[in-house]
Formats: sequence, structure tokens, C-alpha cells
Amino acid sequence: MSAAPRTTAAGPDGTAAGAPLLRVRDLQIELITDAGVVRAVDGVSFDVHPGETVTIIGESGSGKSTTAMGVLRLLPDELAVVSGEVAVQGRDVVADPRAAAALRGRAVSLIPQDPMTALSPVHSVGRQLLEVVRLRRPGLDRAAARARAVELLDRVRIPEPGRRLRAYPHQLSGGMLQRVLIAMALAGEPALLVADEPTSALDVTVQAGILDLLLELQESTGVGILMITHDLGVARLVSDRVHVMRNGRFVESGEVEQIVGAPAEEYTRSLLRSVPALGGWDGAAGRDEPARPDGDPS
Amino acid sequence: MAHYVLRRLAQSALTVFLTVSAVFVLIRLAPGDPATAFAGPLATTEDLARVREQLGLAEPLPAQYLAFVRDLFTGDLGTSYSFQAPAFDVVMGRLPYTTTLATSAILVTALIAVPLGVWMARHAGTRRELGADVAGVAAQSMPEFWSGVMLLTVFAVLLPVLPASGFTTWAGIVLPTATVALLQVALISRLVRREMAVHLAAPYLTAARSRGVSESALTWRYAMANSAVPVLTALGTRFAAMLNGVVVVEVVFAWPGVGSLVVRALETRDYPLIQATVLVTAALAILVQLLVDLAYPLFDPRVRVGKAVRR
Repeated sequence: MSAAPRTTAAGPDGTAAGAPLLRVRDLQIELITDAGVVRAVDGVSFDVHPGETVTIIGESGSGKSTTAMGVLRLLPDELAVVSGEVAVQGRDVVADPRAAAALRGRAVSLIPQDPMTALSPVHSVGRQLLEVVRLRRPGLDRAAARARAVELLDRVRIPEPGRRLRAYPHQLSGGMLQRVLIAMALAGEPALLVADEPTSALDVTVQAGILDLLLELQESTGVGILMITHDLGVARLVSDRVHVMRNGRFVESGEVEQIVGAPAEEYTRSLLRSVPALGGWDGAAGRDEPARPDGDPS
Repeated sequence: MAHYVLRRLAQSALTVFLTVSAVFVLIRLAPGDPATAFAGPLATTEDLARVREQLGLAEPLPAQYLAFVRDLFTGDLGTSYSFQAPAFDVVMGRLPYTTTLATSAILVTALIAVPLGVWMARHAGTRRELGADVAGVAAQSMPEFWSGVMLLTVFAVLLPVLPASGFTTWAGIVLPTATVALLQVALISRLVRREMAVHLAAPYLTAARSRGVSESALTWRYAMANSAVPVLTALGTRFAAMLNGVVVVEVVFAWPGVGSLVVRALETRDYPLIQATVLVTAALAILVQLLVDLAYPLFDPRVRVGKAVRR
């Protein structure tokens, strides 16, 4: 996997030939906190087209994860007020939250931030994966659904997938769990993946394998990815376009090489300086990890 | 697993033995003399001495205890002074009434408290939830002797639709059950609400929602399954406590269970009967706790005993 920009449906200025998978216009999200109402997202606009990866990068508290959760309408109604336009495959989920519920797990799936807490601890991995498989394909009988689950685990390069189905979340490592969660997201056969800091809770060596897997799946399925990260190394590896976010607004947007190579904003330069090293993703570290069971303690 | 159960059973037996031993000593140290109750108000000092001799109470305490332990291991718990029958048989005769009432009360509690707690968690912050919360605090604050008498006054006296006391028809179980359940529902439903509120806001729930899992499945399958252990523990503990005799309620409704029996045994200083009651109810309560502990692995894979965690 190369870190160089890949050719996509989107042109250099971010405009594309077809309709975008995700069209966000003037999105505003106000969070109701104990300290009062906070405008976490203050009028952002962007598109994600099929097969491309759009990254929102920013420090913690910049509103990037809130943007992702707002797009999926996963913020509790009593804690967040969402306005503006968010269209997933042309359906406006701001105007119609029920459309969001219908799209989740089908048109759009989430890869959550912390894989250790993203699965129910009292149900087996297989039970949770089979549930999603059956939600998407209600006609499948037990054996066929199980075969599909094994196929999905195999696709995210989990060794011995049949045995892993019986495992409980606490029996798997963080990297392994994130692969399971990616398999669950794929079970919905989504057109858009929202990856909310998918690697920030993982060991560095495991991170590379997960990102590599996401890019590989994107190549084979043409899924569009909205990537949320604070890590410029991650952004540089996966993105076609990057939006730099600060205090709820995009301060700089553009091609990944342009942002990394010639940042216009002082904020972006400070983000760049905070990254100790950008190398290491393309070499051995990224390729070795997936073949063996993850050995890191969870 | 079998090894674990055996060890727990041995621990339980020791606990019961120590409990009964403590009770044996304490009731003899407490003021009051069974001979006075047994021989009647007109008894002379000589009568009392003779009765003490008869009941084996003239011996020094260590000798009495040794005799008690020797009999205990042959399965003899002594003869009740007031019933003039083997104390164990007297207790076992009353036990079905207490287990029936306790089972009825815990089932009603679970069937009401769990859905109510879930409903409160899902409607947190609404007016109706606030109303349920206030009602819960009120129910929790009412002593059972008062709520029992109130229920009795309303449903057996003012509107005579239910029997006031005893257990001759199944209708007789309604008011005692309601009295016990009122307090327990208030306590357990708040526990369910607290647990459910935690799990309804858990990251895994949001993640499952993002995969398209329905809201009812999220509530009942995800959050409920994850709340099961503390709720089960509370229900098990309450049930074990009820088996020790729902004393106040049994007295209010003249329920012929272990609770009213122990009150009578204490009044008459019927030592063998007190000891037998403590032995039976303590053994039962500890057994219920053991069953609850053994049920944990069914509800939470993380506490499965003797199963190596695979990484």
C-alpha cells in the first residue's frame, strides 16, 4: 500500500462526476452540557464520493468526532441539536432521523473508536456478527448466515474464523476486535464507512495493519470512507482529501499532499510538528501483523 | 466446577454451624428464662428448678453446648418446649408457608420491578418518570407493618374482597405478597433503572445502533443482558432474606410461616425451636446464595470458573 495519492472519482478541487455518497452542507451541532450549550460543529460542508477517503483531522475537542456521530445521527436527541443538511445517498438524515435509522448498518456503517468497549461483553463475537448478517440478509438460514460470518472474518484476515465466532470479546486482543468490528461494518454491505479514530486505541504496530486492511477493502469494494483522526500520519496514508478542523470549523481543506507539504495555516503546521515521525507505514510493519494472532494485551 | 461446588458446600456447612453456635450462646446470655414460660405463672421456685433440670438447663453452658453439638451430628435438634414435638419437625411444618410467600413475593417483584426499571431508564427525565420515582421513594419509605395494615384495612375491611389473615385459600396470599412486593419493587426497580441507564449509554450500545440493531433489541437483548448480574444478585439476596421469615408481614397477616414461629419461640424462650429455626433458615438462605453464585457464569462469560482465558 502506497502513501501516494490514489486516483479517485473526485477531481483535484474536490468536485466529482457523480452524486456524492455523503453530502454535508452547513452542518451545525450544538451540544447541551452541564456548562451550557456548546456549538461543537459550526457550519462545515464537505462531500464523500464512492471509492474515496475524506479525512477530518483535528486535535481533541475540535468537533471532528461530533461531526461523524452527527452524520450517523448517533448523538442522543436530548443532548445534541443538529441542523443543516446531511444527505446520505440523497436522503437527508437531519430532516428525517428515521431515515438515518434505516440507513445505519446498510448504506452507512461505523468503525468505532475503541474496539475494547464496542462489543457487548456478555455475548459471543459470533452471536453479534450473525445478528448483523441476518439484519442485512433476513432470508439466510442458520448455516448460511454462519458461513457468511466466517467469510467476513476471513476477509478481515482473522485466522481460524470458525473458532473465533465462539470467542467472547474479552478473549480477543484490541487489534483482533477492531478486525471483528470492521467485519461487522462490512456485513451491512455499506456504501460509506465512517471510521472514528479507528486506530487511536491500538498499538502502533497493530494500527498499520488495520489501516492497510481498510485501504485494501476500499480497493475491492469501492466503499467511500469518512476518516476521523488526530494523527497526520494516518491522514497522509489513507486520505484523498483532508479537512483540518478547529473549534468546530474547517480551517484548511485540500489534497493531502498539499496540506502536509505546504500548510497554509499555522494550526496545521502545529499539528504537523506534533507528529514525531511519518514513516514506517509502508514497510515491514504494515505487512507482518495480520498473519498472526495479535499478541498485545487488551 | 464440581470441586468448586463441594468447597462452597463445605464453607456453607461451616457457616451454618458457626451461626447456630453463636445463637446458642447468645440466647442463653440474653435475659429471660424458658422455665418461667414453661412452668406457668403460679410455679414455685422448686417447680422452676425441677423444670430447669428436666430441660437440661441446670448444666453449665459448655456441657449444654457439647450435648447440643453431639445431638446435632446425630440429626437431633431437640424438643420444642412449647410444642412438645421435635423442633426440626415444627420448623419444617411451617417452612412451606414461608417458601410459598417468599416465592410469590419475589416473582411478583421481578415481574413488576424489571419492566418498571427499564421503562424508567428509557424515559429518564420525563414527568412520568419523575412521578414513578416519587412513588418509588414513597413505597420505599413505608414500613411494612404500616403498609400491611393499610392494605388490610382497605382490601379486607373497607372493601372486603380479600381475606384478612391466614392461608386457607389462595386469595389469602394476595395481601401479604403485595405488602412484601411493594417495598421490594421500589428497591429493585431503582437498581434496574441505574444499571440500565449505564448500559443504555455504553459505547457498545451506540456501536450496535450504528450497525442497524433495533431499539427494542438494544434495550432487551443488549442492555438487559449486561445488567443481569447485579439485578440477579439483588433478587437472590432479597429472596434469601425472605426465606428467613418475612417476620413483620407474617405477624400482621397471621401467616403461619417461619417468621411468626420465630417470634413465638423468642417470646417463650423456646431454645431448641429458636436454634432449629436459625439452622434451617440459615442453611436455606446460604443455599440460595450459592445457587445465585453458580448462575453467574450463565449470564456473564467473564466470570466462568476454571475456563482459561484465551488471548
